[in-house]
Amino acid sequence: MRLINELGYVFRQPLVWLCFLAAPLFAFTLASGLAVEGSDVINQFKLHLVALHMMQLALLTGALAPTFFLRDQIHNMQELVAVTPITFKQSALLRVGTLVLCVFVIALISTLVMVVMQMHSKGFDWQIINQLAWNSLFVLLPNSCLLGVIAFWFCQKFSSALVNYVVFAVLWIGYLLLASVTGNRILAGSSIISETSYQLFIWLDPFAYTAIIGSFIEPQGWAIAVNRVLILLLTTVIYCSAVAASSVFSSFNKPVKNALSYSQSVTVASVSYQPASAINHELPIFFAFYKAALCNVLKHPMTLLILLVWPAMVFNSVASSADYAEPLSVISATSIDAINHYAFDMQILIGCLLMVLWSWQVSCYAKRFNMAELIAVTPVKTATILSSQLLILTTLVIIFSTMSFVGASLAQWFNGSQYQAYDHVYVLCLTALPLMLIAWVTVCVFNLCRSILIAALVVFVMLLLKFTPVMTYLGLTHTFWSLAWTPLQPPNEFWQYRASLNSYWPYMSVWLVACISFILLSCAFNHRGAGLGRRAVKRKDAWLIMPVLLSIGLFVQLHMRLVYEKPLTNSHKREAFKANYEKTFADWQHKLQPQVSHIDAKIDFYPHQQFAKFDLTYTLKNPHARAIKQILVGRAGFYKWAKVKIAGATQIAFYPDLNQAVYEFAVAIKPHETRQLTTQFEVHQATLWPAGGHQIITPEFSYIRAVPVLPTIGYQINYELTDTSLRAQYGLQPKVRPLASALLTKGQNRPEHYERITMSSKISTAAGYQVVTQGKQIAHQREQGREIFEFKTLTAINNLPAWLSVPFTAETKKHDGITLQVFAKNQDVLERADATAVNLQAMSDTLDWFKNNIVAYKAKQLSLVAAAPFGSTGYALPQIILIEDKVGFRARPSDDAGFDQRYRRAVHETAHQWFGHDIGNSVPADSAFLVESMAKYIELVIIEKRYGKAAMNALVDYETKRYKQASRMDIAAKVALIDSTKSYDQYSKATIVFAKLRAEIGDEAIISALKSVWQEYAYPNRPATAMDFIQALKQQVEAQHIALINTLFLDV
Amino acid sequence: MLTLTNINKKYADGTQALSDISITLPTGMVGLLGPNGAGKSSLMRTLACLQSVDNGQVNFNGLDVLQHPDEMRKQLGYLPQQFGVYPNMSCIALLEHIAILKGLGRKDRKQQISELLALLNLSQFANKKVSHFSGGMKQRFGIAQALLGDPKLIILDEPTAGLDPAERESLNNLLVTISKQRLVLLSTHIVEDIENQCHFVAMINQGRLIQSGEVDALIKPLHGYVWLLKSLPTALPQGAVVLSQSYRYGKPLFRVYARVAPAEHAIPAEVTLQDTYFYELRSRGSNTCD
Repeated sequence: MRLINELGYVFRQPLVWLCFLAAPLFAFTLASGLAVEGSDVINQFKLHLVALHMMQLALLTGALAPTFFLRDQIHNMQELVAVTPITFKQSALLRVGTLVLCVFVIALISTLVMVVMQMHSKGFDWQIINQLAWNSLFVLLPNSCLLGVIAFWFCQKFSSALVNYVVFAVLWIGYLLLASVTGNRILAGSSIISETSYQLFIWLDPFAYTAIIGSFIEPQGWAIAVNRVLILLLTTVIYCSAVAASSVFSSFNKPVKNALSYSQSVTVASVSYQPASAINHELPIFFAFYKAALCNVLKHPMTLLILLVWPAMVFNSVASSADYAEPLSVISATSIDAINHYAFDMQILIGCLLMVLWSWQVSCYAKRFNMAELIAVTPVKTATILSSQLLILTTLVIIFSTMSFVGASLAQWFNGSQYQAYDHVYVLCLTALPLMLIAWVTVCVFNLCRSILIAALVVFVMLLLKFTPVMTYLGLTHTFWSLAWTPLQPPNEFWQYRASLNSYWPYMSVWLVACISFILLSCAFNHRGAGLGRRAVKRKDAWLIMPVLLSIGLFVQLHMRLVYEKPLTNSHKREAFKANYEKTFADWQHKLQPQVSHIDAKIDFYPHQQFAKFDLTYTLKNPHARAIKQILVGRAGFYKWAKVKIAGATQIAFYPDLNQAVYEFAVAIKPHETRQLTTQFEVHQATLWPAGGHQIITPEFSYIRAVPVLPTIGYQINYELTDTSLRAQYGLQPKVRPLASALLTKGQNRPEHYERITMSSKISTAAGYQVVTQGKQIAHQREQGREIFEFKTLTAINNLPAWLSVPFTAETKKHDGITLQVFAKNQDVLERADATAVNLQAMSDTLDWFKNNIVAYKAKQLSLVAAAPFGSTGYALPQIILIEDKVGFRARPSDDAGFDQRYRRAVHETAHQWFGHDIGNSVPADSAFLVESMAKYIELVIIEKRYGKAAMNALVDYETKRYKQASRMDIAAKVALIDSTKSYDQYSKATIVFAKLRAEIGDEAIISALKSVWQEYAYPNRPATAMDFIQALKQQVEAQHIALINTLFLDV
Repeated sequence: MLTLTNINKKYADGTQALSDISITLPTGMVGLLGPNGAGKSSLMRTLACLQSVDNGQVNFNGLDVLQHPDEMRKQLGYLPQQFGVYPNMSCIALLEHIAILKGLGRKDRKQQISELLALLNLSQFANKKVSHFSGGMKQRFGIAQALLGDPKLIILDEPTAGLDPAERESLNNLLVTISKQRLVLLSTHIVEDIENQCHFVAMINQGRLIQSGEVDALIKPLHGYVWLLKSLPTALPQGAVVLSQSYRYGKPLFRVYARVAPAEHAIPAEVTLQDTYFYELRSRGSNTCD
């Protein structure tokens, strides 16, 4: 009866209903976004449950706890309830039980949503039902109990809803942080920092999620059982301590608030009432508001705690990782490096949450203390109330940013790193502005919405849109959903803020105008904190349409500019483009098309103006035995159509939505005949998107890779959708990518020819700039204040041209007739000079090894360029290597490093001149093994040759650790090494496999196999595949080693 | 002084809080009478510019209150029925805070706060936290804050709630004194307070104004028609209304409105404002009163 009575109360609370709606909705969104191709169904389901409960259980409990445990205090019913005959122990048990029941049921409903989603996509499975029951009974229920009693303990101890909210926010974030350092695969970027802490967490994880995930690799039955027993004991202890420590009478035993009701005689005052005139100065009023509300927030113990803990967090983050470049590699950290470790993800997330909390405290200050009506009737202008609140939030943003500054500065002082206060101040100003706008908008929401619950809901939705991909899931991806978002990227020492500063202000100015408009609106329709009626819309409010229209206009304008720069602005549009492309042009897969045999490029770089002009002439050659009448010419969907002219051909069809055109020759191209295609276009650096990837034109670094900017010839297989469910969604036939291991036996999809081209480039750039591209530099002159370079390839290269222009000169070394160049900035700095020498050494060593063992490098020059962040730490193009400046030129080996990452990377990328650009291309289904895995083999042999066995073993140990961690995180089905498309297989497993192979059969057999592959399958023969190497290897070894080769390369 | 014309207010849940209220309230103490839920608080919040109305006009000394709420607030003193206080603020600090919000200069507010503390018998608690005050002290603080500045319209909702008889008397005296050049709108359930202090009264029920006027004038029509009875006869004369049933020394006492003596033992009674109030409510079919 009491339980029913309690539930009667519970189900009248709007917050409970909100949780019942929001939690399953969240489950639905999560279930849709976590699918892993090819993974084990049960493990995937377990992982979904862990993700769901990890994300929502603590939040649900924290949100609901005050409704259950603090309702008497909040609604002043303490005494009424206390005098009823129910004992405190009964009441406590009842309330804890009801909260646990409520949280459990909500979580169970969410779980059922997941079950339905899982079964919808994978079909019915009894194992899922079993798993559901097991999880609910042994994981969900104990976890709900634990969280319920924690909430009860804190509510009893502090009688404050705010304390409860903060405790649960800390619990939630704290657990996520712990999970991220113990390799919880739900969290992107998480890894096992320490094996000991991981093993410990398997047993002591309060929610048992680590053990559940660990069970994917090895059974964890005992760990889970012991963990559950421990948690039940802990739950009981917390509950008993909460009950023992509090008594219902304890609150009444405190001095009562009426303590000042002294008996007093009524005195007849000698004074009389004298009215006082107001002077109507708004400034003192403004400051009275400001002072009172700011003091209220700052004096709150929770704020003080936050302001102490936050700089400590920043200190920890900066002090522990500012000099980190990559594993086994460190840098001499600067303030810019320190900034990267606190001012972006951490500052924005924590900052947003704090702004919301403080906005609520400031806006609802008077209402919380039931003084709102007294304040609202004073002759204070609404604008004064609102502007004082906005200033308070601005002050709090400044205080928060100052605390970040203090924490980071102390950490830098502690580490003894290069300190520039300006860098911190500058970036904190940039990040503080969005925080301030978020705080302002939140304040306005609380000023506009009469109901705090509705305002809180609006703010929650705002945060949901900002920090989760919910709109992407709904197919409405847009940067505008994330309030006050800008593309601001962390700065780096290579080009400071170049990547994104240009795009910061266009966004920020629009957000500012929109925010000011919202402030004006909320000023006009403010409830003045009392939560009573807003005034009706009147004719005199018509002027408010102007700022609103201005904001809408600016958003529309920004949107148009965004779309102009990158038309396919979200994944749904890109998917639709691909699906439409395949549907429209599928038959072109089987039509004979000419190949590009030569590119004549005239390119003008304007680094300072951030654009480049392209004038290209393709020589198209018909390599087939039959004539070609029509060709398909296209361009990637996010570029505007380029001017294209083909000698002797006219455009007969154009598909503007797909950026494709069909040209028909008046006279078909005969076998081996050539024709000319000319095209002109410009490439501009995007101003509203961060600079990065393979198309960058900036004063510090310009790099244009042919793919995807150049027009394409024929059907582009890489445009096809590969995801099975997406293909089904768009009505495309299932397409199974052939396994590399099956290519040899079935002989399918094996092209007969490599795609090779020759190139000649005439490139102009700004004075003082250098140009890097494929081919030998045959001329250089300065004309009209511009540098003009000419290049020509002496041999055919893999069809992947690229052109770079950089403002720094090269360190050049002539090695065995080959010009090795390393382009990097500030090479006179000692550390950088050392890095340049290491990189040159690695290039020379690799060239020597290949010349002595396989085949010599074919070109006459090889250039290595220190690159701005472009999405990878290293990348090899024919005759050009890009290595990110930080890891390649600022970094040095850490004290515990057994090998030099700079040397390893340079060897790896140099090796791609053979594995990747000589063989290992032109077969789309077979590229990973012959490119990446073989380059890892080269790392092993060259590091051993240069630095000895210990260094090689250190590399193997490093890759073994990486493999173990990554393997633990992956629930997808395992595949053979040569079939794998996973990077941890291609790199780490390949290193382990080749180390073992070398130990067993030695290098000689492997080298002989490679030589044989080159002899049979190098250009101009037909392209090599991974299985060609395996076959060759088997021929080089004795029979007893065949099984080992099969095990290492072909077995799962 | 204060004129309301055709004021209507309907809440989102469909409750008609105020229905076509038109009245002119003169300077001085004005009482507002009505049962719970009659619309008194809605009317007072409207006058305090805390909530809007659907239509109608409010004019205070020539000021269109609904169009210029900020101007109205400059002339307003308001004590809601229930209010809270900021934590950790002393009585004087909180009065200072509100005085600043009311736009008082430093010198004026110091002096007026000091006077109000003395007037309301709070001087010795000036530096104590208001959140620790007893009910009566907090109520006196509330009155003090309402009187800060130079309010021309003072709206007091149950100002004597929680006050002991002596404090109540003291407050009533103060209110009468200050009401000479201003309008003090008093809402209370103690009809006696209104009868003693207010020269004008407005009665509302179910959002409608049912009666208003000078207290004397409202009482006068019942003069000679109110009777005291120790028990009710089996049948009352036509048109008779039982105004109230109370007890005196544990014995029932009925006040009955009737044109003629309703029973032989009926004693003519002196008419009070409460009789008029009950008569208006009873004759309009409302059974609630408090």
